[in-house]
Amino acid sequence: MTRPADFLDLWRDALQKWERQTNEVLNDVSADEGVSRVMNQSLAAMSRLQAQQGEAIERLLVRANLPSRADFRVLGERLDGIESQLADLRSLLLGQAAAARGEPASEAPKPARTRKPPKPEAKP
Amino acid sequence: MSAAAAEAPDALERMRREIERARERNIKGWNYLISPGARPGVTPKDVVLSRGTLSLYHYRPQVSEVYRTPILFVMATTNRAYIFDLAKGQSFVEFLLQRGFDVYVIDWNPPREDERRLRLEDYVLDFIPSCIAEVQARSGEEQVSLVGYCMGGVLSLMYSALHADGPVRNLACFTTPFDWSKFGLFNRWADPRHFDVDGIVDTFGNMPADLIAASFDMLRPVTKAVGQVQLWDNMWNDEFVKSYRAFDRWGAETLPLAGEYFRQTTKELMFANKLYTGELEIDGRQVDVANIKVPFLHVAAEHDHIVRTEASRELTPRVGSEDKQEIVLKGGHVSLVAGPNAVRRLWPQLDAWLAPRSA
Repeated sequence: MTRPADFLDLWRDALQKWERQTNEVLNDVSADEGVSRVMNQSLAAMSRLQAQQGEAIERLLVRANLPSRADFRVLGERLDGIESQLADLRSLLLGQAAAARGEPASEAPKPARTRKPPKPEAKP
Repeated sequence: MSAAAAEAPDALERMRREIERARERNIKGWNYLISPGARPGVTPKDVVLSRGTLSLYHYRPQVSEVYRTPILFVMATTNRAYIFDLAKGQSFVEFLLQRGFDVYVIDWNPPREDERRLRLEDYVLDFIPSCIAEVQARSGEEQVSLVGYCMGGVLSLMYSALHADGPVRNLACFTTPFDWSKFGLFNRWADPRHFDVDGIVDTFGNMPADLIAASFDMLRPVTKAVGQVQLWDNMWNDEFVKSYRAFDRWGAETLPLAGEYFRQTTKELMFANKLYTGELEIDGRQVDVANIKVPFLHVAAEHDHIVRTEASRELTPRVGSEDKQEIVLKGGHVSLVAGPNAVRRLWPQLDAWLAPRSA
């Protein structure tokens, strides 16, 4: 006896088919040289607009004596650098303090580098 | 008993199941909306080198005896490396650690404003060599196995071709483009007659992540929307939701690219296809993959929509190694390296290929 068709399974299959076909159609459209040219022109125009907006906002923030997002980003990057150097100093000092107390290094013991690959299984 | 009577219990059972799933969708759907996803990258590791866009991780060994030669993964520059370490039980790195490998991974942070002038030279002749030196110092071993994914594979190829007598013992690349004229839609969109790469880089400094993500999405324009519907349909299924969230988060974390690196990649590789023609020069030195003589493996994905198999087909024949192999596995660009498909296919393949070449 054949299993009756499940409505939801049919819907899932149809969804997958629609996805595949729509992707193919839209890919064919975007592969057209004219579409590609228009896409790139739009991208260039959007880039110019975004740059102009950015510059205008930057000027406004300078006049208002306020930091911009870029200023915060630079500040954040410098803080990252300082944090990282502090972490290096901390581990260096901890190591020196441990050495001064005659304690062994805190690193976990390293595994032996002697592992051999498993032998291939004999064929019957 | 008539056929209709026999079908009735089955139909009732399916109806009961669907009602139960609808109820679970509502409860778990709310939970999905209000809870954060699982944190990726949970396998214990140490950051052993960090410099701007570059991070090098060393994953802590999980067995008492490892293979002599450590592995250094080179991640693609467009995405985060936690695709190799999505979650416990879904981690390529964890799998390799348990199979006895010593694993290091190069991850990329978003390039800073002051890193917009980074070029291929910086990645190939500075970042990768610095990481190899760190791996050598920490492991005490002279040789390493390089494993590159996508653009990480391209960088690994360039490094290996320029250091034929160098420390690379084995080279494995996944979905690595070689013939950039076979990229399909990307070739159309990045037509040099229309695509103003100079304008974009000069305007933005670094190539914005959202433009890169949009170009990937445009390869399958409705897949994201269909994915949302499939998520709702499978909301009752915890494993599906967990996996969906991990992949969705990773996909949403596309990285910006350093401006000069993007300009150079577009002009030298995409427009002029110089890696394929052998005309590519890095710091005045010609990059010829025929110089690569170490054991070489390339793994392509049969349904890769980003790096189509045509774009990598000629790589293995052109590499100079005697011990070389090309494998085409079922799966897509991402499902090749992570998820249930990868667990069954790529992971054991890499283990089987690397183990006898790593002792």
